[in-house]
Amino acid sequence: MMSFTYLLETKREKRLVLFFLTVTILLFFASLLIGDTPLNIAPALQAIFQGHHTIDQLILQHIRLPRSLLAIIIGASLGIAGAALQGLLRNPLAEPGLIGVSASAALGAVIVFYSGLSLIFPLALPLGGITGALLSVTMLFLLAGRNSSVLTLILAGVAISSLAGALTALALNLSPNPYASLEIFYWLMGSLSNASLNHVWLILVPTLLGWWLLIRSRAALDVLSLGEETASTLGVNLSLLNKQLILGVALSVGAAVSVSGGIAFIGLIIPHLLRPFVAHRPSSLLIVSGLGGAALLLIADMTVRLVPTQQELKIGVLTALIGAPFFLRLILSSRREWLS
Amino acid sequence: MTLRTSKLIVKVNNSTLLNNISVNFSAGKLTGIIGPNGAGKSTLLRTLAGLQTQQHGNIFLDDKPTHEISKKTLAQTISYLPQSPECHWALTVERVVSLGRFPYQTGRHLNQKDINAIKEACYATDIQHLVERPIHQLSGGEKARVMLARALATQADILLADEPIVSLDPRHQLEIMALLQTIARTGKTIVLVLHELHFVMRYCDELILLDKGLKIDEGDPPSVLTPQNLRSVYGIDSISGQHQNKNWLLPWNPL
Repeated sequence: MMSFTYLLETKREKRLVLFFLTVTILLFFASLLIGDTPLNIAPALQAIFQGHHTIDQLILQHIRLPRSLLAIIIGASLGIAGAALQGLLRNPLAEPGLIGVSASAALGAVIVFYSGLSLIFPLALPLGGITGALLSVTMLFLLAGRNSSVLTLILAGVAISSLAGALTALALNLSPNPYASLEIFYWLMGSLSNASLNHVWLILVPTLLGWWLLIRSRAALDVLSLGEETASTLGVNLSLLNKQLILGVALSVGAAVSVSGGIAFIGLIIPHLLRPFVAHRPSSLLIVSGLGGAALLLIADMTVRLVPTQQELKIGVLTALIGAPFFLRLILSSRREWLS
Repeated sequence: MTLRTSKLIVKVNNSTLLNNISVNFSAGKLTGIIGPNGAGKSTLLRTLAGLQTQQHGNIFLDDKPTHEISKKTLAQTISYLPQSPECHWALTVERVVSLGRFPYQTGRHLNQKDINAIKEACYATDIQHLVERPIHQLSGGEKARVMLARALATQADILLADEPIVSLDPRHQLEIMALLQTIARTGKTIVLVLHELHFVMRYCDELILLDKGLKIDEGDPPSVLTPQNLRSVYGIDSISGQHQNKNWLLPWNPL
């Protein structure tokens, strides 16, 4: 008798989502409590609800809450986008930076820094980032043409990424004020330390729109495991799928980078680590990776707050420090697979 | 359901891969597309599957041009099994077979009808004992049967398969050919690209012989696989005979 495990698999997936959801919520509360300054949560909450201004209320409402919320949103964006791109490209080494969105969002923000707009109007920075991301995706589709194949999209993404990187370097190079270039440099390293609730509101709409585009296309990612041609004969509109996924990544990751700077490797590591838990099914990986990304970024953000460095360790530096060896291990194990 | 092409011309980079091909694939029959390497067999199958665009001519499904039919309806009607099918992730066998139900699904979940179709396909291809295994751990022959099961799970009226028995051992080759013949007998249209002339002679109901993009001959196997055709198109001598009231043929010598 054949034993089918569909129901079991669905149950397992639900349990996994519930587990990561619980972990993320617990980490979120931990993130509100943990930091340089000890916080009395009860009086702080009381002050918020009564509209009073106290030190605890200020720390909770204006520093820790936005920081923790952004860690969740950005971590989730990186996780979902990474899982979606790995599914689309059918490659475990793919990550959101590949299509040039991160570099372009960074360039958009750097231009705002450079022009001094960020001093006059603080939200100009994330707005510049989102504009950069959207311009890059427009350029990507123009470069890749109408019926763009995945390979053309990646090549166009690499070209855009290099151009954005070069222009960012140019801005640093020509910066008239050394402090401005230092500020740009620090920003590029990736951090959540300047988070405000305004940032959260600002990126919420593009982020949710991006997630929606990615999650609604996920069933087709399973079929894409069989290759583009078979997927096409099974009714997948490849051109539309490519566009939806790339736009979804651009919106969510572009919005993320525009407030946090570059946070590397989460979009690569999380889907890869979680894939075996969802029986390698690409469509199941998106939400689980989103929650995993949120949890990892919350942990990373708490770590940089707690590590006693003279200057706060940048979160992007930490994720890169953890991520790079992991990436190497991944390359080595895939090389073994190729050789075997 | 009848699949028909009319004056099909397919060109890629100025070279003509199919030249003025008009053929009929009837319901209830196992039709083989045969010909030497480079004859245009796979191109014809890919064009029928909608993967290759023709420069001229039309493809009709029961007299309705396929370009007037929605992609979803086409996916439910025509199932395509490529030459050396791939699976990029270590999915379980049942998950791979379930992908054949995608044209019917609105979400990611399977209903009872889907599950029944998947089970039937698994039993038909003799892979029921493998359903929980990850596909990348299977042998070449097992993988080929899983991929055929995936194509059968769609329960489409038309099945197009490009060399479906190429990596199988003789027992499974015989079983799969017999299975495809049985499926054809239920009223489905089965179109195969095949190189194995002995299986073509034994199992196919109709043949289309192509060479250099042209249709050379069509008809039942004994009328197409004549010594003259085999000499002029394949450049081979063959031997043939009858066993248990069935024709057999064996390629013997290159000319």
